[in-house]
Amino acid sequence: MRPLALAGIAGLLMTLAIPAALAGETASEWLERMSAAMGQMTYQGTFVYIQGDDVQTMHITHLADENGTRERLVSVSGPHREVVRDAKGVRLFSGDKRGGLADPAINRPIFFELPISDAASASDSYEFRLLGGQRIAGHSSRRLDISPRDGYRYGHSLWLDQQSGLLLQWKLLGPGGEDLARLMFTELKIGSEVDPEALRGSGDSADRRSRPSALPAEGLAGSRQPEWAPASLPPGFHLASHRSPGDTGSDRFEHLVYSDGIAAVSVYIEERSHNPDRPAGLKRMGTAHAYFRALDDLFVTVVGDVPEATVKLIGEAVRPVQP
Amino acid sequence: MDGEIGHDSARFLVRRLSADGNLRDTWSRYHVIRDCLRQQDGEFVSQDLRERVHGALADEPVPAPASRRSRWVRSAVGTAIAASVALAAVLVVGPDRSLEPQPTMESASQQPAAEPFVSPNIGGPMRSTQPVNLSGTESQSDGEIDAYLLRHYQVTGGAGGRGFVSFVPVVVTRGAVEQTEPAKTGDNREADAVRQ
Repeated sequence: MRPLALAGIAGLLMTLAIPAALAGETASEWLERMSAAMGQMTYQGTFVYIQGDDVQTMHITHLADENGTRERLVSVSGPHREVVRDAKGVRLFSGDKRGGLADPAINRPIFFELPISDAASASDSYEFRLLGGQRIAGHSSRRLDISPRDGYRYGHSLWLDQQSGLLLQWKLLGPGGEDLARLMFTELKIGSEVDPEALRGSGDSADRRSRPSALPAEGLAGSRQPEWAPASLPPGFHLASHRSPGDTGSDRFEHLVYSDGIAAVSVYIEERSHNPDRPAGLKRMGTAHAYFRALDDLFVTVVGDVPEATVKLIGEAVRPVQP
Repeated sequence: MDGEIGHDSARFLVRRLSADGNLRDTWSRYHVIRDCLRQQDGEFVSQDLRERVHGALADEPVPAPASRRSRWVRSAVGTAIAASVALAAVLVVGPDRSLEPQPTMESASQQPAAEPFVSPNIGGPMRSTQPVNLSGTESQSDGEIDAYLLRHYQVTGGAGGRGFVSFVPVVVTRGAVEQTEPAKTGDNREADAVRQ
């Protein structure tokens, strides 16, 4: 065989091998490191969150020790809002007109994470690239770009701490690569440097009020099949979780979670009789989109950090599941 | 940064900034902190931008040196121009409208359910976003979305392993709820059945 042909074949083989190996470090390894670090490490820091012309400063305290895992995310600038996660569930405290909200714990372990598909299984939907990083908040980082292959999901640029895998900077990108939001730590403490007192809530009594969530408690539905589900999905999405109140719930309520390995979309199907005049439509909160739709005597709600086209497509595809 | 620096000190600082990369980095960090504290609108001064501006000025052909004073003036003016260009670039960064235009696509209900899903062309005409009144029923709607989002993030735990980052949109204080398009209301089953 001619040397040129051999070189060509060798080059082709190298091209095929590079995405899987990524010079000894794979994207999925870095994703696993990030997931473990974000959930299991103790850290505390201040970061800025930029979306459009809005810049907000927030503070995060995340403790993982023998007493379990607790987390407090609080806005430093603007009206007081904070999210507390612990064994009791998730509570949103708010001093603004939206009010606080408490959602009881529905998961064990409390900081349940959807299993992250490895980069190979998500590679149909995303392209992964490991790049050199920069120093952020005093930490050396490694950059991981996750680019969507179509318009049904967002892209991400992640700057991860070289040592721990913690997320130092994150950029959310639209399907066309445009910046949608950015988060960047300006200060980050790890381990013993963290002050646990920051977990204590502050603010006046009005800020500390929260009402129970109107959504019923739910658990894994087990082998029971959903009665309603999207008949078609955007490419790459699959059913990751099916949850319902079980035998304790008198009203119909089903919670289906679809994921492409990176993004997740929740589909809630519930009785419409309690609130027949609920408005339908497509709405946005931050980078999340929600699609509401009345369907017979049911109401369908689709939410997720995905483009509006994705929640709309999934919401409009909901049908009765044929036995 | 706050206009309190003296005239002579400012001249000295400008000269140091033009030659000291570490000092420029410190200057950048102080501006980030200042922006955080003041919650200023707009993008941060990008280090890349500053370096590009500084690099572009460094690459500019330099006239033959005249006097020591003129070199100092040129250096100061160059740095001032770099700062001005960077500031102008920061100021002209408008609101991010990237979330507003969304691809127009064929609805799933118009496709036979039995057929495999085919990605529609998403490069169609853009649709404008219609902001809605956030008072009255809309604030109630905000609360409803909070409930669904809290449950969603609790169940998924932040898909993709990003942990608390997923909860950030819930903490974002600005009520960024907008109705972009009214959905179908009422019973759609019959219409769907007809299409199938």
